[in-house]
Amino acid sequence: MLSEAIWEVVRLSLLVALAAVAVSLVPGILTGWLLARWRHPLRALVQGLVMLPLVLPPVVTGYLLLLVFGRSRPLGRVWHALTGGHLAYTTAACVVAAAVVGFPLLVEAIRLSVAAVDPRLEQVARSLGRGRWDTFVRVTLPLSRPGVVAGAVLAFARALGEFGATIVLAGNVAGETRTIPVAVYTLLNVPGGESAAAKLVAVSVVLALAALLLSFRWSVRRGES
Amino acid sequence: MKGARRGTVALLCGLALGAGCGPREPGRPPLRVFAASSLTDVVEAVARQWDGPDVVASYGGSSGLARQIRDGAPADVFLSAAPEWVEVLRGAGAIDGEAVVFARNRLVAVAPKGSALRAHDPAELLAALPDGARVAIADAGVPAGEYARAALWELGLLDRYRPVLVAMRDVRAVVHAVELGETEAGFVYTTDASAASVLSLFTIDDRTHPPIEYLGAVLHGSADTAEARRFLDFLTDDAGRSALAAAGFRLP
Repeated sequence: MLSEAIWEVVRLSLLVALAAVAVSLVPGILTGWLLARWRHPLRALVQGLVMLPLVLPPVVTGYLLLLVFGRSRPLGRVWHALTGGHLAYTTAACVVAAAVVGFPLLVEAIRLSVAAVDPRLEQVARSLGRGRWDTFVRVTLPLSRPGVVAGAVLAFARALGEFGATIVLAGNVAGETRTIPVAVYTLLNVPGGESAAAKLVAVSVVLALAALLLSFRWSVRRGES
Repeated sequence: MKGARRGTVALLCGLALGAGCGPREPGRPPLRVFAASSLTDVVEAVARQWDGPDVVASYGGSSGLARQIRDGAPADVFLSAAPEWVEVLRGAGAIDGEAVVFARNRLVAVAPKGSALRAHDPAELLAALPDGARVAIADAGVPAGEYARAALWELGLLDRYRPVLVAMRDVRAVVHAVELGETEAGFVYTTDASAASVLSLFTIDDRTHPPIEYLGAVLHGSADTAEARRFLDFLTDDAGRSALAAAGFRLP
């Protein structure tokens, strides 16, 4: 039913979204925990910076990323030194764009979940001789797991739909950066491309809805527990 | 009450003026021109000399513009970089009268200024590209992209080029990516190359792709077909011809 060309696009989108969540999971947990527990005037600023991609036009986010990761730009050079290649217009660029725009969703879910953990439980663990890190890994993290999972699913869904930052940073390379939204946009710009676009639109709706339902399910569980 | 209404009308006129809706003849609807992005500079230049209603131009790939017009975007004149999209609109009953060919163009491969890349044809370019290189090309459907793909196909190089091609929404986006040095090379029109700060590598043999013809047509949905036709005549007449020639277009 779905042609090889469409599968290629869907497969790439899933791969990019999974990779985006994978690379942002650990930083996301640490940032969420920091924002939930840190009491410092700078906290608001850090939170603002983390949330920025949620409110910035994604195209602007993409442009800022290009200014940082472009070929002759600082991090672009670091990337080149590390990998020997360029980041812009590669699958890695798709992952970076998707991870950055999905990050606020991940962090916010984790932050709320960590904030809901009763600090007295952590104090008990500390009073029984557990270190800070041990307490975090054995008490805080397991208790905030529903938020981590729900945040990861939301970030995954957001990554699947990422277009604005992706088109600027990663462009439209068949098989490498042509994800579902990029392919749909390209097809819709050609009169007569609608029928091919319709299949991708259907796939997109199914994937997004599935991700949302999963995240609802996990949030309900959190509410019950 | 009356005063308040007059105030509102004045305010609306002010807003209309502020939005560029016609300092020459306030209240007159602007002429909405949908033009291929490669015509950006020419349309801007011609609009400055034009004595009719203000020109409000939208630029983009001809395919995307045709799609918007077909789906009901309000427009008076369509300037396409390929006959195909004019035919699509004619089939959809959106074209009023005959379309006229008013300019021709050539394709050229460009590289960022200062690039060490040297090549005389697409095969040499492909061989000279470093690992991980990218070549910008206009999207599928966009005329500049279609002509370039046709040439690569004719030369038997399209499949080998595919992994390095980055598709961009229109030809001006290709020029911009090359100007920024974000891709090693790109395929654009000669007119785009001469207007931008890029290095022209070689002109593509025009026997390897369909002739690059620009067509102008008045649209059925035009609010003022008489002015739209007059603008098209203006573009294909002396004023337009000299602007096109100055920008490097070939004239029919």
